[in-house]
Amino acid sequence: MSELCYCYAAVRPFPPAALDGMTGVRGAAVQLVADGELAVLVSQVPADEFDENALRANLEQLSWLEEVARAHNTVVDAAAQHGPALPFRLATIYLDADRVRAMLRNRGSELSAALDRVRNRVEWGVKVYAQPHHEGMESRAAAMQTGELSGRAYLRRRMAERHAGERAWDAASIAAEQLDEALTTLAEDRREHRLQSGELSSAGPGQNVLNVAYLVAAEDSSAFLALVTDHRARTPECHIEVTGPWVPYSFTVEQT
Amino acid sequence: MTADELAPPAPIADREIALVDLLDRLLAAGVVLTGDLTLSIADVDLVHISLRALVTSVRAAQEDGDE
Repeated sequence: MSELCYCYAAVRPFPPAALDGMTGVRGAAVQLVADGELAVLVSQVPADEFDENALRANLEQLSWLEEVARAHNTVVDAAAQHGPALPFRLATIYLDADRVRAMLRNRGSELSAALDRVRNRVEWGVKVYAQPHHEGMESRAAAMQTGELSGRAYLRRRMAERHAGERAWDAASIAAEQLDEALTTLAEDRREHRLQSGELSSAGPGQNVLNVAYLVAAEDSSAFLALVTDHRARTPECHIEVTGPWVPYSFTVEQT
Repeated sequence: MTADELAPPAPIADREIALVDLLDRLLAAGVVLTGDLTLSIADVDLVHISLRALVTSVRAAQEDGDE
């Protein structure tokens, strides 16, 4: 069966012994393909699952996508234990190791500069949600259960709920702006991610009003998190969620 | 607010990373290389794919929960 070369991240070469036992997508052993001062972590993947047509179909299957994404991230996290790591986008695939080395020669200076930029830095993700107002929802549910809700009363409640929702959104937006401003002073860089859709967060902590990644010097992480904690205490009207530390996925390209 | 929320978050490895946060990074961030196969994959809106896949799964989970 033919195989392809799945690429996880660019790193500075480190002793191959550090890769002992490290496995990637589909449990395959992770190897280092080096060229000069750069190396790429790769593993072999079956062509019948990762060629163009197969990928197109597989990416639509959540279980497949999730398994590959988690394996990818695990290798990237492990790589970052040995120095700066520059993660590649999911499903970056070359025919073989020679093609990977050719890419390193072509893109070397760019990758080198990016590796230096993320050295000793981590990414923190911060999301702010407008809190759904539970009160109205609960009273409506209770009224419906006891069958007390006339059509007019129902509409009145719906209207009140919508206004409360708008107020919650406004309050959360202002809080998010202040938080973002404070965090940006501590961070070296920031990147906005798309807001997570209402449909996705409806079962979660509310409506997403801020979704930003910050590049933070490793030694500033505690101060960064303390700032978030401080804002959390001051803004009970919104829910603030932090993820990380991530390998700086969102800062692999310099933004002009 | 719980005490957990006030403490610095544990490293990612200790917690289940939400798939949506992971995909935000793996599909919309990260170094973009042409690769040997990605010429046609580049035509595919990866973020759109992930979103559609996620929405489908969220709906499925909700329907299961309703039963």
